[in-house]
Amino acid sequence: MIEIKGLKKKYGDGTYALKGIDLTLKEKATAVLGRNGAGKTTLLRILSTQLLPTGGHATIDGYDVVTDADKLRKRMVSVPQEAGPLGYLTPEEHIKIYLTARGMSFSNARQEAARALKSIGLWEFRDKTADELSGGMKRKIFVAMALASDADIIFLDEPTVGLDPISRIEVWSALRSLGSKMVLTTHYIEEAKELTKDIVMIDGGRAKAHGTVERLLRKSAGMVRVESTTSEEGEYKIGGIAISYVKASEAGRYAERGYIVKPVDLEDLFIMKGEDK
Amino acid sequence: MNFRFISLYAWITGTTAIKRGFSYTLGYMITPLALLFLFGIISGGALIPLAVIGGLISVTATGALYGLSDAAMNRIELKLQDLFVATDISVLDYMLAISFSNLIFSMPGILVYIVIVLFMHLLPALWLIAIAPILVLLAVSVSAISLILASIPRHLRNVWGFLGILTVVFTFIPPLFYKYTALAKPLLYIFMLSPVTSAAIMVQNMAGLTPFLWYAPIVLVVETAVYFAIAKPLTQWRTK
Ligand SMILES: Nc1ncnc2c1ncn2[C@@H]1O[C@H](COP(=O)(O)OP(=O)(O)O)[C@@H](O)[C@H]1O
Ligand SMILES: [Mg+2]
Repeated sequence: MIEIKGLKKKYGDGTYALKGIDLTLKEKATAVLGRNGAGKTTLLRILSTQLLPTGGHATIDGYDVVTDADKLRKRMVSVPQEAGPLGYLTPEEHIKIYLTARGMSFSNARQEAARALKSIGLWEFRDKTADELSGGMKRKIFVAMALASDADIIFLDEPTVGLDPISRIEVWSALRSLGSKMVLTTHYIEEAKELTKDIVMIDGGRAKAHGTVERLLRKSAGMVRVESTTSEEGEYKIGGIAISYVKASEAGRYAERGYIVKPVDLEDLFIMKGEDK
Repeated sequence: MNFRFISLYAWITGTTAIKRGFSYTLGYMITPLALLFLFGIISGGALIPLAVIGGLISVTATGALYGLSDAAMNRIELKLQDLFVATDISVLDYMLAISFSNLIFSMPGILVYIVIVLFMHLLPALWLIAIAPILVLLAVSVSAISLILASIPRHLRNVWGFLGILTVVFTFIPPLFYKYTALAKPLLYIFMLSPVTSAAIMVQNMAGLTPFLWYAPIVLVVETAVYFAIAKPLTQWRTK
């Protein structure tokens, strides 16, 4: 279980990235959803003992991320956002080095690396250097590290950015097969729904909502989204599109006026203002 | 200490850097070899022994200085430092891994110079055994300095500038290619802050090129211990 209380982070340059986050994560997998700059990476880096918070506390299974970092590090894998491989090393070499850093023996590291490379579709590229791989394959090297580890908890920061649709499915299925607890960040709503029922939405350094998709959408039950590229009328304006949320019974009236009517989904929670906790 | 990690990281990154990045390997060898050539021509051959000893120290120190760009690259660009922070290894494991990686990477250069040393009978073959620990201490101490400095730059572009300056400060200005006795005592003491100086003096002494300086070995050992010890608190491992 991960317990986060009043967690804050103010960077050296004065940026207030986390403004007091309170969360209790009990599910096996949790997806942290949020727009660019919402504070997802900051939150994940603090939880995975890479970054010190400036306020509040967080514990993982009772261990404090600041004071018990040594104990936690033995139990976790954390794949940074935009982590890049060393261009002149192969996928297999990367994974073996990583596994020995986690304390694995050479022979186990070799075996586990092979198993992970196979399960994620990188086996045939195991001897190519990273410079010869596509962006998505480079990303998979890091996901494979998590797969090959025997960690209790895995943090993944935007694991499938830059992957083609097939590769994404491969990564998702590999992640679903993991026995460990997992916290991942993403701005793909689809990815969050694929991998877990437990979703945290953060915005502007605050947790806006937490729960299952159904729960998160409960507030807007019976509502639809109406949008138009020609009309000026709308509660929200995003890049020339006017968007409003209205009762489903009114949808017909809007449709007659040329509005497009859509069901409300998680992405609408980013658009709608207001706190919901 | 995680010796498995240190040895695997050093072996894989060090040997592949030679195999898959050979131009870089030639790159660090070419400067001291060019100096050897120039000094040889200018002095009518008289300065060649000094330039050979200087080159041996220079290739080792240059390799260790590359640790700065490795560590900065891993931290700023590749986010590999964050990846390793969240594992069992400590900053000292990481530092030793990078030190030995670059020592392996320096091996072709070191071997070239050892061949020249033997060929010119500058040192008896048996004395090479005594040179090995000097080079290891030099590699570890300069790597420790590199790693401390690698925590400073915010942008990768500054790293290359930094490295250019350090290469000059560490391998051109100290008494590598000239006799340490040419320096006034106060200046010598200042230069001895860099482990490169004491290492070079020791090898010059062994080759009988300069008078024996009894405290050079002590300075090298103490400095290695000191730089190694301060690397842990001074290197930014977990981000603040
Ligand atoms: N090292 C840093 N120094 C200063 N500000 C930072 C740093 N890292 C992130 N930020 C800022 O903190 C905020 C949150 O960033 P981040 O956690 O990366 O968001 P996300 O991962 O959700 O896109 C942004 O405003 C970003 O510019
Ligand atoms: Mg991010």
